[in-house]
Amino acid sequence: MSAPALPPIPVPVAHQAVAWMLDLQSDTATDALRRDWQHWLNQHPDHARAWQRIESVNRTLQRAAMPAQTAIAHATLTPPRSPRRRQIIQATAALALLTGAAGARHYLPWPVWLADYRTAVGERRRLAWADGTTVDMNTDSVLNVNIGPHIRRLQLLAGEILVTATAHPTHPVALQLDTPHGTLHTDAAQFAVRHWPHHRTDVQVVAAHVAVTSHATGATTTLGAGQQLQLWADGATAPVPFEAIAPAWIDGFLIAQGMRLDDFLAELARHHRQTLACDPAIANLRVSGVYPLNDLGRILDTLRIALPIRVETLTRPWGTATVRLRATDAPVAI
Amino acid sequence: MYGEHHGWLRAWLRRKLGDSHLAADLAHDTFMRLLCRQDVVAAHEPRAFLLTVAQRVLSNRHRRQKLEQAYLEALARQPEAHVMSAEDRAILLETLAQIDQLLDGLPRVAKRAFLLSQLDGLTHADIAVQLGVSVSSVKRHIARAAYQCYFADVVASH
Repeated sequence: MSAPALPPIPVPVAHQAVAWMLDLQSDTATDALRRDWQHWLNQHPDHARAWQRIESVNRTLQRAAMPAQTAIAHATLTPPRSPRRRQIIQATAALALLTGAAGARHYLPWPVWLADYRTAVGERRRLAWADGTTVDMNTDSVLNVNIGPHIRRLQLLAGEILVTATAHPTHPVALQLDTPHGTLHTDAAQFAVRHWPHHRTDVQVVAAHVAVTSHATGATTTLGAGQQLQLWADGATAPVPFEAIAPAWIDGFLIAQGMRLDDFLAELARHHRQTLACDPAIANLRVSGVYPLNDLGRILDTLRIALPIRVETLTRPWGTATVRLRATDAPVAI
Repeated sequence: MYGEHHGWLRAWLRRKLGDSHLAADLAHDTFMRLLCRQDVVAAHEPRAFLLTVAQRVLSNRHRRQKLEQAYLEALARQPEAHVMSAEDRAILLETLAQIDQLLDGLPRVAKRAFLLSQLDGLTHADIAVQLGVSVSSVKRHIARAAYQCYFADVVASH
């Protein structure tokens, strides 16, 4: 018996969530309205699910929301109608512009929001099947699963997972994991996979063996326990050793050893809905220690003590917040 | 099903596209869609069903090409594009492709209203001025786009 997928959000709840979003956007939104909205959120778990869905898709939209990019976004998504005003770009120049250094592109065949399992931002979840296969999902991850008596097939569309697969004593069923950069095969192993969108896919084997095949080159590398590699758009890196233990996020921690502050915040931001940023001047301060992933307040308090920084929080009208780390002597925003 | 029909689908795609390499890629994409579905597809007419899925793959590809063309033209017109790295341009394109998929089928004015609200953070009143419509129209357009964009699966199951 597999962990059940959630039923779709009911139609009236979806409409309510959209209506709330519009009300909160309006410049006549009051504190009373926000309280009513909070009340609606707490009324039923489906309400919170619907709101989480809005926030999750908004995060995608925000990636095109930098001031310099919104004009490009509008012109791309709603192009000007008159053909005379459009410039036709040379095909070869176009290809170079789009693909950059690496030639390979890999499209995900279907929309992420229709996947079997997805974790919200900050959520970690363990899935388990009757045959003993377990998958730990990290924050903001998306997974398709097809596990049955004669098949074990997973597809990582986004995020990060730890797969623990055992071999049936008499009827072994090979496990296959598809990622945008390559395919993994094993009969039994414990391994972690992380997909960095449009960038690379990392594979770490904690126990036993996994055969990793790059989409780009078709070459297969077999990783043993304590080995890891990266799959890129143009091929796989050679295996390198790592400490063969399950990743710290399984237990809810982020372990830093001399990590740059901006990289640390980027890792932390995966688990929180707030936007986390730091000034360029302090981006290369080093962070070390074991941090509880979900306790943002405690982490910021620790950073404030350990580093010469202060923390500013800006809350937007529709509820999302930006946390900005600044040098202690940076000018205060008015 | 794979072995039996894969060759046939590739040939069909090759005839339609005139490109055997591309046909192989799209045949693979089509089968990928099917092989990872949790519900077992018991199709009485497997080839007709395969064609349906393949048509969807083809129309996605066509939409993607149109988007890329619009993107390149938009970049050509924007001085800001020159300070973006190649990787940033590629990442922005992927983001826009996702948004394009979410907004597919909506009337142009609804897309405009929605993007002006969600990307540019304009108030409903400002959007009304920019689009030359009433504030209540703006809210209607945003509501329609938001419902489809955020809840595509809810839309699909009804």
